[in-house]
Amino acid sequence: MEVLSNIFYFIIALGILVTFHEWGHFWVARKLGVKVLTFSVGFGKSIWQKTAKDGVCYRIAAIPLGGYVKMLDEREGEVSEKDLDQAFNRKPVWVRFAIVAAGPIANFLLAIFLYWLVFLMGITDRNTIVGAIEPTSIAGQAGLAEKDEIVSVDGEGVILMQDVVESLARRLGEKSNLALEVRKPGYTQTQILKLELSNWTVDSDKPDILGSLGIRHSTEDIIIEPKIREVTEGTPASKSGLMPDDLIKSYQGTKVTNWIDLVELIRRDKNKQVTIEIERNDELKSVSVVIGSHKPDGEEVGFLGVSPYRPQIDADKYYSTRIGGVGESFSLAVDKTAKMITLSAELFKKLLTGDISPKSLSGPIAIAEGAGGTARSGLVYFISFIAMISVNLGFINLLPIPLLDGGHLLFFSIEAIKGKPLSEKVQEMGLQVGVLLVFMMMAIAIFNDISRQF
Amino acid sequence: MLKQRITTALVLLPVVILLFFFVPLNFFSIAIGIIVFMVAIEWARLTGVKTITLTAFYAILISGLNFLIWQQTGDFKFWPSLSWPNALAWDLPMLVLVAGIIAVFISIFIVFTYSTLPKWWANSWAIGVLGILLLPALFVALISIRKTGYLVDFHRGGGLVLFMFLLIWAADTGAYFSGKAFGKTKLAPVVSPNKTWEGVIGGLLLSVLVGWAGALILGFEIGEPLLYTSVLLCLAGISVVGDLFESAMKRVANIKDSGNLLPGHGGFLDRLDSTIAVAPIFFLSFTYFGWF
Repeated sequence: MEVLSNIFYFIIALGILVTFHEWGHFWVARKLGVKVLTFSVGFGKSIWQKTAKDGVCYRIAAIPLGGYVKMLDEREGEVSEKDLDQAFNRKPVWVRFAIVAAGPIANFLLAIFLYWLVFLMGITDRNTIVGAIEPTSIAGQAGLAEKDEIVSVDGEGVILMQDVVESLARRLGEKSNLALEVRKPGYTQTQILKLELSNWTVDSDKPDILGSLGIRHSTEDIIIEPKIREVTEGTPASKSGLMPDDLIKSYQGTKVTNWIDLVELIRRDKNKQVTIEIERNDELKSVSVVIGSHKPDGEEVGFLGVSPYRPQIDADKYYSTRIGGVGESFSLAVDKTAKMITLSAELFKKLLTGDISPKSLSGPIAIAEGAGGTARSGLVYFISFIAMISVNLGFINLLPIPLLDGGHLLFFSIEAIKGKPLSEKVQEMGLQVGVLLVFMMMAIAIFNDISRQF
Repeated sequence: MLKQRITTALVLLPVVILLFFFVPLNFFSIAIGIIVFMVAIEWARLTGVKTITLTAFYAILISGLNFLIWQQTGDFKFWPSLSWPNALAWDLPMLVLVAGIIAVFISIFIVFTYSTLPKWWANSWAIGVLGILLLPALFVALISIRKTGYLVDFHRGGGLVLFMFLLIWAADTGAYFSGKAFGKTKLAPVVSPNKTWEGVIGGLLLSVLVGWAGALILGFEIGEPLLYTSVLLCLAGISVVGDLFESAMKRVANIKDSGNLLPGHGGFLDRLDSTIAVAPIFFLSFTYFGWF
């Protein structure tokens, strides 16, 4: 079911992004007097199509992984004499430049609009107060300690933990020191901690940026009492006679005080007979049970079949909401989009220089999982996710690779400088190289995506 | 046309990656069996067979052979023979591989001597028999490459299969580029008027380049660089001949693309013509010299 829902939200997200991208080309083309023949969302076989009064054939096609705007062009088909001045290839270079650039720009504008919505609706997430920090970790060595509140990262203010993650992502693959401004509990003034990044490594298979530095959020320290709320029918737990409200005291002789530790122990002991000591109606009892096994995320782990009471927590202590007025949100959205564009550029540069591994490239499957995951968390997260992918799509399309919009822009720029277009031969060769580059990127991304599934 | 080609390739890319790298050997082998079945259908059409019954008969015959090889030898992990490359033992898959290689050499001979004789190419019996030798060898070779190091590193064989396809692709693309830039002397004016000797040289060069890049990335142990380079040159040359052979068949059978299953790419045979010629020799030479 989760796969289906991922696919569903993936198609929705991609549909919005592609429609906007193509709409950018479409709108500018028509404004600048180029005749548009087809506006297609998706490619392949047509599912629905309609030729409107304006002469444009609008269509939705079966493969929702892209789309296109087909313009009148002598290189792609016969153009009648009277339509010649409306053909794309007859237009001056600046017009063609504007039409091609409009796609990525539309994606950036969409991102601004969506982030604006996000800020207006308000986003609630974990605040920046950290939990217990391992003293030997990078953050611990710099002096970060429990209950510290992170105020800024490298001079950029942060309100939510996700802002911290984003700011840290910018430094991936770098070795220079990181400045973390924190407020110690009970103080009003802040202090700056220097994090040494020379030994910083992030596992590219399962990137956990905070964990790799040793930063933990305070929610990770919440203790859940090992008291059973529910026993699932037909599981090892129900067969062994475990009952709701049993308090688990020890597991194989190990004292248990936190549900999370208990889960860890059970996961390790798949298909093993174990003894659990419980307290029921103020009496201590021993229960013998054979741990079962299941595969929640691909890996086979032990499983018992019980769930705990949700701890009563004071949400204000752990969560913050960022919400703004109309004007303020808009400028925040512009700022955020600009930041995401530069972040994309920086990460791409590091990918080329080898500072981050090509294993960190993600493809369509990762995007689908992101789409599904955020959509299930709530509308505002989904919108925020679409905005981020929109920036990415716009950015990737601007790369000077023939086949992508950026490649056309490159050719047009050369044409503007040289005064005449590049020869067909060179353009065609460029296209071949472009196809190869795009395919290599896609192949690596898809390989990584599938690898992460196992 | 180009757009359609790219679209098809983009849609197929995840499938190919999944097939090469992530499915267990048995699934991979079944998929290859199905693909070879498709190729056999297209091959039958090229021999000039017109009726569906005969086409189906030919494709089922070849698939039956593949199935028989599998039934007779069991575990794919020990293809082409348990002792290879330490000693040569005539297990069935090995026999099929060698028969395929002999058929490749016969084809090369035919291309060089009879390429201008349409009459010869219309000889459907000879081409049909060549197919019976070549197509099972393709099946055995692809599985043998995929199973290399299977138990030690699950992904490795997939990398090797991909590497072979990249070598072929390099010979093709290098030829396209240098042919466009410097092409003058026609290679086979009757069979394939667009191919030139300048193109072939470009193809060989790019193929060697890709071969060495692959050797570095995949960590081949190469003791004699000269030998390795020569093998690469041979494989690229064979790849060109494989392409020519199919072109000649198509010209006589008067077919442009051998199928239309892959929009923009023609059929499976159009994509695999060079592979049929290269795969068995690629596998046996690379394992014999201990490069894998």
